[in-house]
Amino acid sequence: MALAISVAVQAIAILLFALGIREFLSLARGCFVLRRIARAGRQNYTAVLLKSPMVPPVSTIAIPPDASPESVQFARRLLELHYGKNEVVIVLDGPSGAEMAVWNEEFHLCPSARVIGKKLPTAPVRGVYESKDPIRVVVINKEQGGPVDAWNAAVNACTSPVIGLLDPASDFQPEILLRLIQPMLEAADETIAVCGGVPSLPGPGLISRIGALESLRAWMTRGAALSERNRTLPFPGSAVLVKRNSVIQAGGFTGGPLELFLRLHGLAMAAGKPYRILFVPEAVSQSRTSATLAELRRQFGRDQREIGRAFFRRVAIAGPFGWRVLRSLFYERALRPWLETLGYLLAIAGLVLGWVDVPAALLLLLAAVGMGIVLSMAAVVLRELAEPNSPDDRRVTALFFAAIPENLGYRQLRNLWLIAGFRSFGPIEKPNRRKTKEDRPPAVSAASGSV
Amino acid sequence: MIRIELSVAGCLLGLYTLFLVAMFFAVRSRASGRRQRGIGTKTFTPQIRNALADYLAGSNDETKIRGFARQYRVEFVDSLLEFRGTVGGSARDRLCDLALELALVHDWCQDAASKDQSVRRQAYTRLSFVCAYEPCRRVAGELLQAALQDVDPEVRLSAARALVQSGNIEELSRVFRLAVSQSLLIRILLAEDLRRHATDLCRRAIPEVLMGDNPREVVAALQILVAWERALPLDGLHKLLDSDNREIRLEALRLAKLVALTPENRSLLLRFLREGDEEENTLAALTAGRLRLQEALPALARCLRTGTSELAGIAASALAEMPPKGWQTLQQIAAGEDSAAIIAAAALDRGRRKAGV
Repeated sequence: MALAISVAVQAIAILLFALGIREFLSLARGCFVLRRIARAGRQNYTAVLLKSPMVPPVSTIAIPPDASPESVQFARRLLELHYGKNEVVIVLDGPSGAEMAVWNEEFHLCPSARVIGKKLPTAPVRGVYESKDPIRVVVINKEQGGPVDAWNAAVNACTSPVIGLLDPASDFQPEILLRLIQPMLEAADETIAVCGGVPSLPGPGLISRIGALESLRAWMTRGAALSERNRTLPFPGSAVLVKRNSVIQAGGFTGGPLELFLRLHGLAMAAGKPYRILFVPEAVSQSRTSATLAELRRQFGRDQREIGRAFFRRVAIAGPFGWRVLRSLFYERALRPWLETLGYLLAIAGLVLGWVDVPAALLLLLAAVGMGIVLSMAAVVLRELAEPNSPDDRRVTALFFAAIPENLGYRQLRNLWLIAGFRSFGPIEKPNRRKTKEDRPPAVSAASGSV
Repeated sequence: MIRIELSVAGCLLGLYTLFLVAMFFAVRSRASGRRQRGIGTKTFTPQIRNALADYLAGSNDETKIRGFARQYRVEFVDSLLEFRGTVGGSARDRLCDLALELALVHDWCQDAASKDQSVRRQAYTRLSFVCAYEPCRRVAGELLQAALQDVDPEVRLSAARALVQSGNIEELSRVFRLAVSQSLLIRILLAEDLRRHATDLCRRAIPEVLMGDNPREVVAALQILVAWERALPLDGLHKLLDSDNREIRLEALRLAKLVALTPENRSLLLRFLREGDEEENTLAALTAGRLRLQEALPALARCLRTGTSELAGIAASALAEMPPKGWQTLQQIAAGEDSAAIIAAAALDRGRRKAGV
């Protein structure tokens, strides 16, 4: 028993080293991608794009959970985006009379003659409204069906060829649509989606710096590094533009944007046609800086739940390609926290019982904490190397030294959050029991020629 | 064994941490240096701007300007180019003349031959600004023509924008042909620049592309013409309206309201209203309304009665544009009790308000 525990601790330490090296390589790849993008540069043509009638219209979607001032404010922010042809589609998922009254008052709604298509199956639509004011807003009042159902109802209601998905919990610039549509126009036929944004900025406290480090690592690995192989996935704080036809051909939403991207990748790979999902590292959108541990946990929990859900449904969503796309995310966000936590438990128990000697426990500590510090420091340095024009040396210093306290205490707590979050997305819907055949997204294997 | 593993791991991580710390200090000192340099270089920008503003206002004293251009060349160029979007006409010519006199244009021509993509891009962007001035264009010479074949689309775009400013029909035709063969982004950007030469281009370059056998380019050309949103002296649109390619037909339908209404176009529009699919019906209804096509009244009334809500709305708006017969038709339909009646009543109300009745 003693030997088995000791060997297990050593094996976990070696595995953690291997995973750490893998993550470092991913960060380095991200650095090269960012460097290449920075060197190529991109002219800003927003002034021309704003005026041109040739720029495709965009429908931005809001799925407010209630009629709170925050929800109304988010819808207003979407309406204030600088774009020639931006239509805001608000889907109210089974609103109460009082909630409907709030939206009515806010936008001066009147019944619309617009007919909502039924390309994606959704709960019945109760009514469609437009504003009497000169603003392009469409409000859909539908029976309660959950957020995914609401997303799909929004896609049905959209009349534009491009859909904008912006995160209510992130800060985005008014010209975000113009900046994101530009790379899409450079290869309009091949590009099916664009994902843009930057990591959150470090605030004054340690928690906000740790949050910024987390955001930076996710941005470099999930955004930049994966984009090298054309496998970009949305990262926290990112904004997304996606072609409506591609969403419909993919069978609509099955979860959040991460699942949608996974499915788009799966379908495009199965079809074998050239496609592009672009990563745009421009400061147009970023997640808000967390000031407290509770906020950080909330941000993490949301992201981790989406990853967990996508991982457990990967075969249904993207067939054999699901693992290929999600592999690195699984190692980083599921396997590593499990191994670290298990390693700590075994090492502590082993030390108390005298089954594990101090050098073995130190090796584990080095693999978990030491490697963690090195990875966070590497992320900071590599980002600065990739973007040589960043003039903010104070930000670099703050982030670089935050890597030490991040891994002493916080990292262990974060592991517990990640483990809890990975499987806390609720029961997985069994496709054959809960949904009719028509409700399910089309199988990836049958998707040749689509997307 | 475990001690060896620990030592190896410790040494490797330690070395790596040392390396990262060294990199960190290098990156930090570079960023800090840049910040300080940035503060330093901006010191003379206000003076340079003032000197340039005085020069543009008519001052002939170039002593200060020459001093700035010699000592703070990079900052001077940046300041000069800041005037890009704010000056036009003779002030622009004066600024371009200054750039030529100070040999900036020659520098940019040299940079245009660089193998570094970013340097080349920057050079052509700058040249595209000064090439509005004929003497600068002469200095750039064949460079701009050759750059239309560059591997970098950004360089091609800048060169094309520079050539457009010459107003020479041969060069404009080349740029138009380039625009229809490039990405949608380049097409959008060049369409804006080419708009003011629309009439000249309609004489030869546009008909040549439209009669060509590349449907992609034909669609692209039609998109540009539609985006210009101005009346065009273009013959032979009926051939495109009658095309087998649906995309060409749709774009030609969008364009129909901007060209002269010939008997062929008229009969094809009526045919689309009668026999086309939903999208063709909608576009034809839009065009009929814009052109106030009285012969289309029965077909529009049918679209209003039997079409989808979008088509019905557009048909009703078209009828509202054609008083008194269009209004009479709307009145008749509005007397009913179906959804078409509501749409007709709303359109009639809008039409009357617009006409001040």
